[in-house]
Order: sequence, then C-alpha cells, then structure tokens
Amino acid sequence: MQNLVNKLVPATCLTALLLLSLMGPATAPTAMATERVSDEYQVQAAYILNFVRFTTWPTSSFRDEDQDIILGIQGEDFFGATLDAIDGEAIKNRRLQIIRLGKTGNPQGCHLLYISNSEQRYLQQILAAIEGKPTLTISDMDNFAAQGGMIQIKKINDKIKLFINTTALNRAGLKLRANLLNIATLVN
Amino acid sequence: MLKPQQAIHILAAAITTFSVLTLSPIAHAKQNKPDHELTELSLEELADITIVTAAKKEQRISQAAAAATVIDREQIRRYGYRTLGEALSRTSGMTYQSDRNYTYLGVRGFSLPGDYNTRILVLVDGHRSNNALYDQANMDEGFPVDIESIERIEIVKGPGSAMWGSNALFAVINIITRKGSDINGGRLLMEVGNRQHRKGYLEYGKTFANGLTLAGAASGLADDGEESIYFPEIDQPAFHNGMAENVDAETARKGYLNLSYKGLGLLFAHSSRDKTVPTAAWDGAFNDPANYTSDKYTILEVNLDKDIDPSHNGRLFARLYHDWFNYYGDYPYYFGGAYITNKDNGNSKQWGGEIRYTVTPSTDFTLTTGLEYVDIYEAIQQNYDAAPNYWLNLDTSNDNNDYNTRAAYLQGEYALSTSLRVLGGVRYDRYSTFGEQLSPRAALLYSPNLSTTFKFLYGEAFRAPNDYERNYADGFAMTGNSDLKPETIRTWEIVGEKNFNRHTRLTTSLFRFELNDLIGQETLANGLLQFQNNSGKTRSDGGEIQIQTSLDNGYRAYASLAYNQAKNLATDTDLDNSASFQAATGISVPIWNGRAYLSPEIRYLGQRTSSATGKTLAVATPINLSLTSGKLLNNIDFSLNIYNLFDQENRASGAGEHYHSDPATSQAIYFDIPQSGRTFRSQLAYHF
Repeated sequence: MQNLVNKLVPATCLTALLLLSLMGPATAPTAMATERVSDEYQVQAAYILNFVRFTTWPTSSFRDEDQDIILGIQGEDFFGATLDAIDGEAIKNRRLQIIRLGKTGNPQGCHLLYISNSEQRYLQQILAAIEGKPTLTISDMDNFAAQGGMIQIKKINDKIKLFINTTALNRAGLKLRANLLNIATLVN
Repeated sequence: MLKPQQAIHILAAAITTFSVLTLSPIAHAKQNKPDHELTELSLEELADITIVTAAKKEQRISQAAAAATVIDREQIRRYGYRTLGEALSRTSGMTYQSDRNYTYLGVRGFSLPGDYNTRILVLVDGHRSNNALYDQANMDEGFPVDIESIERIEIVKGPGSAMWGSNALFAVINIITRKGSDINGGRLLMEVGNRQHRKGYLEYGKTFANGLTLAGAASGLADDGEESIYFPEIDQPAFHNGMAENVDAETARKGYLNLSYKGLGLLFAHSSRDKTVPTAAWDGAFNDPANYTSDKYTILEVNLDKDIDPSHNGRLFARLYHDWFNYYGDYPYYFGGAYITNKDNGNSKQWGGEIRYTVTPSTDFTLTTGLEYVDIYEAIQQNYDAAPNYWLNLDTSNDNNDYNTRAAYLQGEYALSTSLRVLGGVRYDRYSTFGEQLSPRAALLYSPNLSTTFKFLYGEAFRAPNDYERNYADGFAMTGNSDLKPETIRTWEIVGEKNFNRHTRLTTSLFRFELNDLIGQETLANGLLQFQNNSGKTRSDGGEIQIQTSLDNGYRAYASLAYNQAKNLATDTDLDNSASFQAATGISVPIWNGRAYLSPEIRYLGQRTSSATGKTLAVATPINLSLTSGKLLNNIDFSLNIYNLFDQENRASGAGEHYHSDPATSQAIYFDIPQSGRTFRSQLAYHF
C-alpha cells in the first residue's frame, strides 16, 4: 500500500509527460492545411450577415432611409462574442443592430429573428407572434423550414446547408436574391 | 484532529490564495474572438467551410421522457464535489453512504447495504461503466473518470432498460467528459487537504485547424484517511478496543483521452484505485493495514456519428469497444492463532458493438432503432489463502463462464398536437445465460403552455444476474446459482415541470415502483450462502420536488426534497437502510465584486434502520462550505472547501461482510460504519 503511495508521484509525472508529448505536434497535418475550418456559430453569424445583404424588405417596414436593421435573438444565445463581430455592420445606408431577446422578449419589430434551438418547443407560439409581419426568421433547430420557419441553417457532415421555405417568405412579403436561393434547398 | 503540520500546510495555501485574490484586478473573461474575415466571404465560400465544434444544442430536459436533472462543471466547482456520489446525492431522492471501502448511492428509498450500485446504470459518454463481474458502478474515487474531467452529469431517474438494457432500474446517469472545445488550453491543478490529502491533475484540450479535437487528462491522488475510527460495537481488547488506526488510506490514478475528427471519435479511460479497508471485512484481522481492495477499469471505444439522410434528419451512430476490469482484494484473517492472507481476485474482459439510427420521417414523428452485441469473453473469479499455506477456495478460470448478450431496440416519438406528444419504446435482450427479456416503456407528454410540462410515464426495467451471483462458489461460505432469473421493476410516474422564468426551474414527481424477483442471499441447509430470486415484491411510493435557479448576477441556488415509503410487501416490513426523507439545499453567492463565490450546502438524510445492528440510525445533516474564486491574474483560480463543517457524527449501515466474531461466544458482532468527519481541501489551478 505504502509502495503505491510512493509510486503515485512518479506515475503521475510520467502520465503528465506522456500527455504533454501528445500535445507536441500542435500543427495540422499539411495535407489538410488548405481546408478552411471554423466554429459553427461563427459561420452562422457570417451567414446571417449575408441574409441581411440579400433580403429585400417592404419599404413600409422601415421608418426612414437610415433606420437600423434589427436582428433579434430569441432564446438561449449560443453565439456569445461571435455575434458582436456583425453588430453595427453597415449595409448600404443602414446599420445592423442586434437585440438579445432572451426567452421572454417580444420579437415584434425585428427585421430578422434568429430563433435559438433552445426554443424548439415554443416555435409555433413565436412564429404566431410575428405572423404576417415582414420578419425574416432564421434558426438551426431541426425541421425549422418544414414547420413554417424561413431559413433553416443545418450542419450536415461538418458543412453548413441552407433550407429555405419560400411559401413563408412570400406570405411575409420578403424577397431573397437569387444567389441565396441558388445555394439553398427549397422547402414549401 | 488536525496535526499542526497539516494545519500549517492549509494555512499557507489559504494565505497564498487569499493574497492572490485580494491583490489582483478582476480578470477579464477569455473572449471567444470573432473571426472578422468570415464575414467577408461569399456564400459559396461559406458553404465550403468545415465546422469543427460539436453543435451546442441545448439539452432539452423538458423533452426527455423522464424526470431529468443536469449537474454541470460550474456546480461541481462551486460546491467542490469530490466524487460522483457526492455530486449525485444533491439530486432529489438520491443519497450516498460509504462503508469506507466503496460508496453506495441510494435512489428513491432503495439503498440496500452492500448493493454495489448495481441497480443504477452509469455511462461514460454513453458507454456502460458498470463492470461485468459485479455490475458495480463506482461512485467513489474508483469511478473511471476523474471528477475534474467531468463537464456535465445527466441524471435521468426511472427505468431506462427500454433503451439501455440491464441495470437501468432506478436511474441512468450519463457522465459527459470534457471535450477539446470545453477546455481550449491546459489546466494544472494541485490539491491539498488534511489527512495528508494530495492530488495532482493535468488536463489539456485543443481544436486543431484540420478539425481534430483532442482532450485528455491525467491525475494522481493519495489520502491517508481518518487517523482513527471508533467502532463501539466491537470495543474489546481483541479488536484494539474498537479503534481502527491509520487504516483508511486511499490512492487513485486516472487518465482519459478523447479524440474526435469529422464524426469519428475515440474514448479511452483508465483508472486504478486502492483503498485500505478499516472495517476488516469478513471477520478479518482488525486494525491491520493489509486489508485492502483495488479496482482497475479500462475503457477503449471508437465511434462514428454521421448524418446520412439530411432531409429527414437521418443520423447514424456506431460504436465498437473493449473494456477491461480487474478487482483485487487482500483479506488477512486469524484462524487458530495463525495469520492467514486470503486473496480475492476478479477479472473480466469484454468487447461489444452498437449501431443506432435516428430518423424523422415527418416533422411530427421521430424514430430511433438500434442493435447491440456484447461478448464477455473472460469472467474469472478466484479466492485463495496465500500464506502461510496455499489453499485454493475458488478458481473459475477453467469454467468457461464467458457469455454474450444481444439486443435490439426501437423508440418512437409522435407529436399528436403542439401540446401533446406520445413516446413508446421497447428493447429485446437475449442473454446466453438466462434467456430473453423484454423492456417496454411509454410516455405521454403534455405542455398546456410555454413554461409547463406534465409527463405521464410507465416503464419496465431489469437487471441480469451477474457473474458473481451466478458463479461465486468458494466451498466454505458461498455457492453459485446458475438458475437465477433477472430482477425486474415496473414504474409509474407523473412528472410536472415549470420554468418560472428563464432562470428558475421547478420539477415535481410522484411515483410508484414495484420490484420483483429481487436477488438476495439465502442460507442453504448445508450452511452455504446462495444468491436466489428470494425477495418478495417490494414497493415504494413517493414524491420529489426540486428547484434550481441560476441568476445573471452570479447567484445560484438549488433545493431538493424527497419522501418515499419503501416496503417489502411479502413480509410487510420497511426496506433496510431506507430513509423516508431526504433533502439537500445549497446557495452560491458572489462575493468580492464577483471575484469569488461562497457556497454553503446542507444535506439531510432522515432516520433509517440499520439492517446490520437493528439500530435506528440518527438523522444526518452534514454541512459543507466552499469558497471558489473566478480566474485571477487571468490564469489562476483556487478553492477552499470544508466538508462536514461541524464534524457531525453520522453512521451508515454496513452489509453482512462487516462483522467480527466475538472471541468469547463466537457469535458475529455486526456494526454500523462511521462516516467521514470534518475534512478540508484546497485547490489551486493554473490555466495555460
């Protein structure tokens, strides 16, 4: 027993060394180096910015020429600081303004609404709250587009794919540019 | 209690950490740096980017078809939980007690002394950890993964065999290890405490540019244990007047490695734990440090997680694994004046595979189906006297006790409307030992509004007789029983869940379970003990309430309360060692402008009857106090913990092996087991 205690310290050191040696080659194998990789939510944020660029809202949804475009985040915010990268971004003469609504905030008045996958259960209630309003709805929750959401962001085998519900878009009076529709799978 | 030398150590650690705390400015939280470049990319370029982190989908507890709870890393840290058992027992309806060799988790009033947690299934990242020989799930330092390597503990109470097979009678507990993306760097942790407690822990995790994520840790622990433990029942000169001195030591070494690359994963975990047994079980040589047990677990798994039918959320999961388990115990005893060293040994090796497919054919329908195969190709138990004369009592190495199990399962979930969902599942198991077992479950989930869910649940579960119960036959004390059938349970439960706001969550539950064919020991006409399906129907009715809150300003609190009435219906007696009331509450308060947290916690374990001594064991209310800092100087944090602050006396009922023969009458004297007194611990961690 006491032997074991004595062995403990060297054994720990040895395993620590082994672990450290594992960490050694901290660079990627060169064959893979050309591939671009990134965090899922960073990429989602970049997509959202593109959605803003390629969406046309009815003029009536803005007070004036310079009013901010408002992006609401409903539910748990999994973006963290990555979302701050696009907050305040200029799109022509407007700026993107991000509002974190949490679980209980009112989504009305948002030009874009990102519904966190934490809100799957409440999806119908959230969509009902903005029914008929020109709000572009976005989410990465399962079956979002099929259940009446507009743009579903889905990770399939480590790549991002888009599913767009054109019926929902038309009902809200929103238009997406062709380059966005071209890269997406359309759902009715 | 506390040696001056130890006190100085603790004081020094405290002063260092306090000075670091008070002198340093508030550290800035490590920010997740946004990648500005990404926002400049075209849509086509974005579509080519490979995603590296695991999807951070929220654990949607309200959708689980059971009463589910999560204990996360932050809770473990703030309250300073040292073992899995300590963390779990804050959950409503869960208790833990130690016989100073192993720790025993009680669930919903079922806490039979000597039950090695065999009726709870414990998983490591979904990988079964209950060992193949004894069905044992270690809740102590014997658990294969260090508490520091645990990111999250998911507790699902109720029967889980419809999905997971054997052992999932009362709960399925899934331990989620820390992944590369959880760690993102390294941590070196040093831990000291009284009783010469010391521990070192090193972890490292990283996500590489090619998408490979890596996480790993190694740790070593040593603790002298309590200097003296007094057993009043055996206060006789023959047993050192009931004083067990310096025979409570423990050492443990652990390591794990987690790799994942494009849906391919590797899990490796190894642990080795030695514990001196102060009770000198089986009438052993009392107050002798030679009494000890050793448990070694090794888990090796490769797995694959792949989306294969994206339009229907088709997801394939497959795993292939090999597990090793080794138990070893030294049980010295006196016989006719001679000092004899008895050795007990168990070895098992198994490999297995599982394939699971989940698909959503339509938006309101989800289906999961799976196949599993396990081959326990080595199951050996040995017992012999090593000295002075070799005497073999048991050796099953030539008995071909290997066996296999195959299983198929199907789970479906259908949304009848936005507020009503039904779930059903069934699993078929075929054991080469006893035959077939079917485990069904069904649930109705009703959400009248956004924040409320009611769950109506029914489930059946089983535990297959294990190798120890079937084949341990040493010829003088125990004999085997190859005719054993599985134990079964049926559970009815109503769960209500309410989110008051996004910070506070209330869970209530009313349940009834009925156990049948419970396996217990019986004395045969020839005096030998044998495991039989001998215990009549056991029933427990109870209710639980748990509330948990975590506020934006750093406050966190929880409270849990459980009541149950567990009875053996055949004998109309209360269940052994079953406390009707159990409660726990803790609050974690930010202090020094949020630089640290002070977290007191109190546990309550109601009166229960010791089956060993027939005594009523008093209510136990141990209080723990933790002081935990946030990151100071950007990369240092510390904690100070006091467990059982008021050094309250508390006893647990031991199992039948904890006895000593009275030298005058030769009668067995059973005794209750004092639980740990006041204990100090301090941690200092360096992040890099």
